[in-house]
Amino acid sequence: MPGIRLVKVTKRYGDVTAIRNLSLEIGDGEYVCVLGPTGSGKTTLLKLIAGIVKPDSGEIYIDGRLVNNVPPQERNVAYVPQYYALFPHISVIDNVAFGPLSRGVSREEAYKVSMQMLEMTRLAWRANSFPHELSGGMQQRLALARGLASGAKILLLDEPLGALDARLRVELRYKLREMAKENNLTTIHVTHDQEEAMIVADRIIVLRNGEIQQEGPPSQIYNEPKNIFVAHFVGGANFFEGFVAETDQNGSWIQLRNGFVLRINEVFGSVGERVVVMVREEKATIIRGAKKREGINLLPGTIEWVSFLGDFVSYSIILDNGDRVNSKMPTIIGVGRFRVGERVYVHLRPEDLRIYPYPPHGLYKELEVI
Amino acid sequence: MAAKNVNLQVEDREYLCIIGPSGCGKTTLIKCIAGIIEPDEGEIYIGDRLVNKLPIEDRGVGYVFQEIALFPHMNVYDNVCYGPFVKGWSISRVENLVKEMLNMMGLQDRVRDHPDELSGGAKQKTAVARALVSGSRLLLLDEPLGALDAKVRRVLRYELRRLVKDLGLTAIHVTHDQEEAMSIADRIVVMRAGEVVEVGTPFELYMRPKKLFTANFVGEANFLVGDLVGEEDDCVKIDVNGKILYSKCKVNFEDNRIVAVIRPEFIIMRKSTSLKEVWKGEVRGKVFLGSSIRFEVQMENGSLVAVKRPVSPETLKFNVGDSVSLILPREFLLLYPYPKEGLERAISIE
Repeated sequence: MPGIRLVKVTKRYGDVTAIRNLSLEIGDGEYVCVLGPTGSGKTTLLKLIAGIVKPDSGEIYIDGRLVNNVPPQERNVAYVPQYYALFPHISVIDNVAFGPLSRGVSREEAYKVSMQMLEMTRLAWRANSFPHELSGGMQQRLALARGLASGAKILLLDEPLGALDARLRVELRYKLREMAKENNLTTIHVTHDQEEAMIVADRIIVLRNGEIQQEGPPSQIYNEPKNIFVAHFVGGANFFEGFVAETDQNGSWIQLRNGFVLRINEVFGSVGERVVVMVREEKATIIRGAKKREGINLLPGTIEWVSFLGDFVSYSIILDNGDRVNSKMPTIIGVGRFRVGERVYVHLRPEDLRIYPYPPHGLYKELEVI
Repeated sequence: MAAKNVNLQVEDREYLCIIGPSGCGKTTLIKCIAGIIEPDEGEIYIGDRLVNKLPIEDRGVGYVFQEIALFPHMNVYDNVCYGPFVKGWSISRVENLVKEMLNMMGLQDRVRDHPDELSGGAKQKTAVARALVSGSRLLLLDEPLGALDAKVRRVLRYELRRLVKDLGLTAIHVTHDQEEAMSIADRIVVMRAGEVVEVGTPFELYMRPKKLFTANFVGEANFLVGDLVGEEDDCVKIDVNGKILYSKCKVNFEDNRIVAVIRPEFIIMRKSTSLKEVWKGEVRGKVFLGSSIRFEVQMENGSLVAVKRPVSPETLKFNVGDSVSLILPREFLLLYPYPKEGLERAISIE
């Protein structure tokens, strides 16, 4: 029996529809990330499951039970909000012990569990401090510890690592998943950070404007994005505008700007149809361009910019037809390999290319992130 | 003490990033340069001018706050005009500069919008435009992208750098995000507990960090504690919990106790082989990261190491529970003296 189920749920705030006819199933013990940009409805989704807001239509089931009219405290969920909501008048450890104590757990057991949670979140040394004495990051960890100690089997996390330094976020995200799995919790973790989602989730649900764009394991979302938004939001992608020039039984030829042509292994659309071709940054390979070369999907261009990212190097290439391509390669292979201004060829294997219909509002709007 | 004995030189037209954990003093430092705070000791020079006693408005700096801080009752255009108007510039001079700046930032369609109608990214661009319109040659940015979604940050950071470089400005950009700093800085200053730990280019800090803290703070690293036991073939020989490792690193340490450091992506992982210089281990964790996979491998000597490999048919085949052989190439194994305060304290990012 699935742990959480939403059936055709809609939630409006005045004119704004935050969640639109959304259906979702989350299995018992699953670690799910709801991923989307600010304003996509992720927090509303969490609040609906927690019971803090009620849906305008649709049903919500927790452990098979219809909970639409069940108040938050009877839903057996631990909700960790984005802005902590810590008790300011009691100490760190008392904040954590609150949940277990109010459920009737013995003092000894409650404080034992609380200390464990504080150790896991690296706050044990501040057990007797007060929330206002902690840094923002520590307060967030305290909120987390408190949620974990509550004993609820469902954990709802709203941007749990949001206020933390990048480096700390990287360290703590593994711990987060570990803690949830060790305690057999069903977790819904909301975030705008796709890297985070990829690392912690069993399954990712991509949300945009209150609707699910795609859901599946991280590798599937990454390798088989269903639309341009998902391809762009999760991972680095290159996009080319063009139209279908020719199709045959094995694939299609797509004409890009200024006469460039790409071969793809998919029979897509009809001749003349406008399309967008996508290729992941690490699938675009660069070959030296000193010698003139010819071949399928071999596009000439010039290196415009090099960015050192630590374990990866990213080359920005401006192709001769005006399109731009980013090529990402591991540092060992890529560092110092090509210079700005150097003439190169970008090679794209047909099997690495994905094709999408041209978005009605234009590609730029569809990719608009800012 | 928020900042201690900091010596720093920023070159003209340099894009400098200051990174460090919360509380390391980076914001205090940038506020001293801006003139928001006065240093207790020491001198600050902007150009050739000693500016310690100079008020903020006379220092010729543009400052972008972490909280963005736009005037909520003014639209984009008026927000950006504010500085020069207050300075008493002529209307035509202000209009020209502001128009140019708004076009550069891609805000020409939002000029009549108020801050509450703007997305996070547009608000941030407005704040930057406002700082730039002051005509300052020095731009100080305090976590300029902090309030934005990860995806927006990743896109906007390149725009920031491009803008600064196109205008020929000098920028000092404070951030807690080392990936951000690495991708756009000419040089990076690493701070911790009020002190400068190390300064270098992104490449230098990543490939040849001089300090253990830098190795941990910039990117991910494996730390293996061991002892120097000799030399062989122009390499240093190390014993890590009974297993021998070689490093091309030159050492001149007082003690024999050392810390060997290697980044996860430099470790080579194969199915078990019988080659001599390999470490045998078992895969304990596997995480798909998109273009790469991160493995956790428990070595025969007890050490737990992280290994990162690009996604490929070979690497996808490794699973939790598999026996593997690891090779730690000599040229990528860096050596450091074992820190007096202990390893954990030395590299802790809190």
